[in-house]
Amino acid sequence: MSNAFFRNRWLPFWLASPQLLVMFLFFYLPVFLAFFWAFHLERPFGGGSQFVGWANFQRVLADQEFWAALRRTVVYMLLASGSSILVALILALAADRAVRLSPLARNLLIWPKAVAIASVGVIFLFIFNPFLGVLAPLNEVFPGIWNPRINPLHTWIMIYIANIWSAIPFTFIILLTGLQAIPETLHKAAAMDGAGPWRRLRDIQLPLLTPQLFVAVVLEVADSLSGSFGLIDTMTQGGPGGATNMLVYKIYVDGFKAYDLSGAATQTAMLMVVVAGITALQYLFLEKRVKYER
Amino acid sequence: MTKATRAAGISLAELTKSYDGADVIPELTAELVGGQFTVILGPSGCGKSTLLNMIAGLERVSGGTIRFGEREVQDLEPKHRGCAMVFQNYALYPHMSVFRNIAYSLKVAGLSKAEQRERVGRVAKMLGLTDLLDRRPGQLSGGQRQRVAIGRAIVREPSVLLFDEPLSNLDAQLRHDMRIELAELHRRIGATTVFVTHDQVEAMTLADRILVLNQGRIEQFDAPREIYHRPASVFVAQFIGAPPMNILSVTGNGTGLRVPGGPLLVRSPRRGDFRLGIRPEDITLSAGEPLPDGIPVTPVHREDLGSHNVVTVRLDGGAKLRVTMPFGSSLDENSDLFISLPRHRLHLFEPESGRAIRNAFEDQKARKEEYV
Amino acid sequence: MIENARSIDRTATVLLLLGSVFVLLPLAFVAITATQSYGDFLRNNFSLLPGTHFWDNVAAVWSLTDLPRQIMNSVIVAALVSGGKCFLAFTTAYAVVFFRTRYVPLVYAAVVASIMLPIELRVITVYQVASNLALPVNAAANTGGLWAVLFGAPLDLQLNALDSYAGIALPLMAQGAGTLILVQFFKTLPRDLARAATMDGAGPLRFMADVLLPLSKGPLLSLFIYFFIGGWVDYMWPLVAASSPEMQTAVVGLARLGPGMEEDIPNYPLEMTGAIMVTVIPLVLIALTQRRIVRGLALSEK
Repeated sequence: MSNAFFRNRWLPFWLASPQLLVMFLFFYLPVFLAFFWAFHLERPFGGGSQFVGWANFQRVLADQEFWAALRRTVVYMLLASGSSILVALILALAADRAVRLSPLARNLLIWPKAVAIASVGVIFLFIFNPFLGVLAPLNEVFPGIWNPRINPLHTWIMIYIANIWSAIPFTFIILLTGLQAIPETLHKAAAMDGAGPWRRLRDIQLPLLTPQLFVAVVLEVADSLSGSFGLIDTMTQGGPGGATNMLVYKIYVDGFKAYDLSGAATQTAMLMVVVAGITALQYLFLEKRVKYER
Repeated sequence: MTKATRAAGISLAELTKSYDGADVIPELTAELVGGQFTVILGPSGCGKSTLLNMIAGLERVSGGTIRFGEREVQDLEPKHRGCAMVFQNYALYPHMSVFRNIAYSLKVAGLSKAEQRERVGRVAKMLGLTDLLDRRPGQLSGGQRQRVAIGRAIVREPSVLLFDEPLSNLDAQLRHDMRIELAELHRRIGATTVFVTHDQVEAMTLADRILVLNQGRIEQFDAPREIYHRPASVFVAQFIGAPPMNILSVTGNGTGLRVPGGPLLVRSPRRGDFRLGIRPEDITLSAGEPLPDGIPVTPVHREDLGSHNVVTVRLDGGAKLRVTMPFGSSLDENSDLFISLPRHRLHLFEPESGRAIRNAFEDQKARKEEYV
Repeated sequence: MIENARSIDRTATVLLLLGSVFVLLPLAFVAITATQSYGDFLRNNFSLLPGTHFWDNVAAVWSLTDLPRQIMNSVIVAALVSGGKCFLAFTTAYAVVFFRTRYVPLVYAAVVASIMLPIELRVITVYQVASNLALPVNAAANTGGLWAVLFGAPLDLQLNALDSYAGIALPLMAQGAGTLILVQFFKTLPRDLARAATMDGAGPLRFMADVLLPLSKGPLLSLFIYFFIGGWVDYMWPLVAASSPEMQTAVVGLARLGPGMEEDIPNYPLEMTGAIMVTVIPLVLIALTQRRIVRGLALSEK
């Protein structure tokens, strides 16, 4: 069952070579360099590198702020992907029913995909502005009840809502496509077997949706991580008081503001290992369970 | 048959179904005898699946009543109707093992694990699925999947068993085997069975009675032989039989019926337009000397199907007829050909409605005795 | 559908309504704010009534900020990224699916592995590479001090791609999702296509150009639109790759708009007008081509 037919020796290589060159320059070389600099220090005043062993790691691991940022990052990846998948799943289940609003909603719910995560940050920062935004009237009645500039809890709520808003479309599309691929007759068969709508949701829809849920989890975990930069950079710059300083943002600040190439590279290397490890775990433990023949 | 009397009949009274103002089933009344095997036969789009879904409770009725025995069920949900269904594409749950597929309805009904095992085991044994219970549907062949689908339906011991074109996805040989198995199964469990198909062979071989449906209306609801030998309409006549019945538009002038511009086909005092039907196998074709009442024809085409030949001939005036000849009968196609149409095998239909005119020829009563 | 599901359908409708409102409300706030003058805004703060100053605000953004030029940059960068990704994905996917050569699965694995680590994770060292594309050449030539021995000094080529369209676009292309999607699509094509083309006397390249490319028009167009929007909304890499406002993309420009304004209370009407201007092109694209994009994406997880 394969389309593989041609047997040329070098032609496929030449065909793939532009892609491979781009991959080499901007993916594999940077990944290598991240690990290279994690074990080297830049010589001051330009000019080469110096091998320093695990010194960079010792420095980074001794930094309380690194651990705090790592913890925030992991918690954020879990909560942000979890919350956005849950919202998208509920909406996809609703849109899967042939109600009159469904076609319109299916179009509308994709719109946030067009808004850059950084623009989402700009927009929600304004909307949640304690004195000028939507909740300003509330603040006039109960002063200080809402202030994401000072209260980290409020800041996080603001970030999560912005993230959910931004993450709905992709997960929604994936899950809705999966739901619609479930044959109508399976619903009918289950109804004949005596299963009501909720029972069917539990016994038929959700189990058959696991492949799409898996894809959604893998992609959303990665997306929440990369998207966190756009939100943090535009909304909080890590504040208030460093409460929302996550690893991707911290690496950016360390690398581009503090010019600490080796420190930033060391943290990058560790983050890469964490992310690659999470992805590998997902594939090892989850993927096998969600595969079946339709 | 004690089991047959236990199974409730299905009465459909003034049943209607419309989608967005379009009538799929204008109004339908029928009495399905308990324990019998009823086949709903019709071309695609005739409303037969809609009818089945309404009996199952998968679609709401627009009007009318459905009764299982004395129970009015048209407003009940499927699970409260006590019927089970086998679907065209099996509709097995791909994420469950064969065991769990069959046991699912029992599990939903809250039966104990032990009881589930007991009943699934019994059904699996009956269908030869015992060794496959741990497999997933994806690992089964078409015939095996079909068996699982049947097992899932009968495990609940339903009083009404519904089939929605269950054999259409199988290859010819398997379809034949399953047909025999289904007939056997029906004898054993004796549930009131409704079987939807567009395949006349399935209908003829399986049914106690066939309900022929066309555009949501019942054309005829009768035993297979009646359907074949006494079709109630042109539609039924042409839908059943391979090749189908020949239908000629004829005119009566008081002495006989003839195709406009063609020879006399049959003597009859009737006047006006009619449609005359005769099955290909009822026509006698002969060469050389004309038979009494022989009608001269020209051969057009001949198909050799091994067991028999189908010869297409043309009457003067252009009308064509198909004639079946048994294997071995030879015909000198260069000599003059004649056909004769046995009076008692002719069918006469009204020109507009296509309804059959019963006993159209005085000596036709004999026909019924002949096949009974 | 089946049983009396009116209450469930009602729940579904309510949920969809809530979802739609949740998606639309922020956009509505943006639109309303963009119609108010700064003066109105200072007096009324947040308002639910649209004003009349939208075009004044647009004119102000147009003349006072770099956004017009930056929107142009976004069009160029997004088109480059998207066109590049489609081209790279097409030739690679063709090589992966239609050739029986032994190293091909390795190529595929190398490309698809890149999906795992988004550019936001590698930005530090991608920056280093982009600031001197000759880095690997230098490194190779100077291995063991060879070049220095031969020519007296270590090779030190400089090829800085930062602050250029190519420098912004190329690193964004290093992502294998397009290849993955096209590979899935090619696998759904009839098996005998390549055989038939060979019988007709077409070689592999001809087959690619005359058969595969026309067949892939639909998926490629979906991918192009999808990647175009993706390139438009990228933030972190364009932010670090372009240091001057003239080379920044619109999304970066918008995020940098706030601090540039001197008032105590930010001129939110102007900022929200900018947000609309930055978002309108991808938003219109997505609203109009929603079906196509969804269909294209659906290919990816078959």
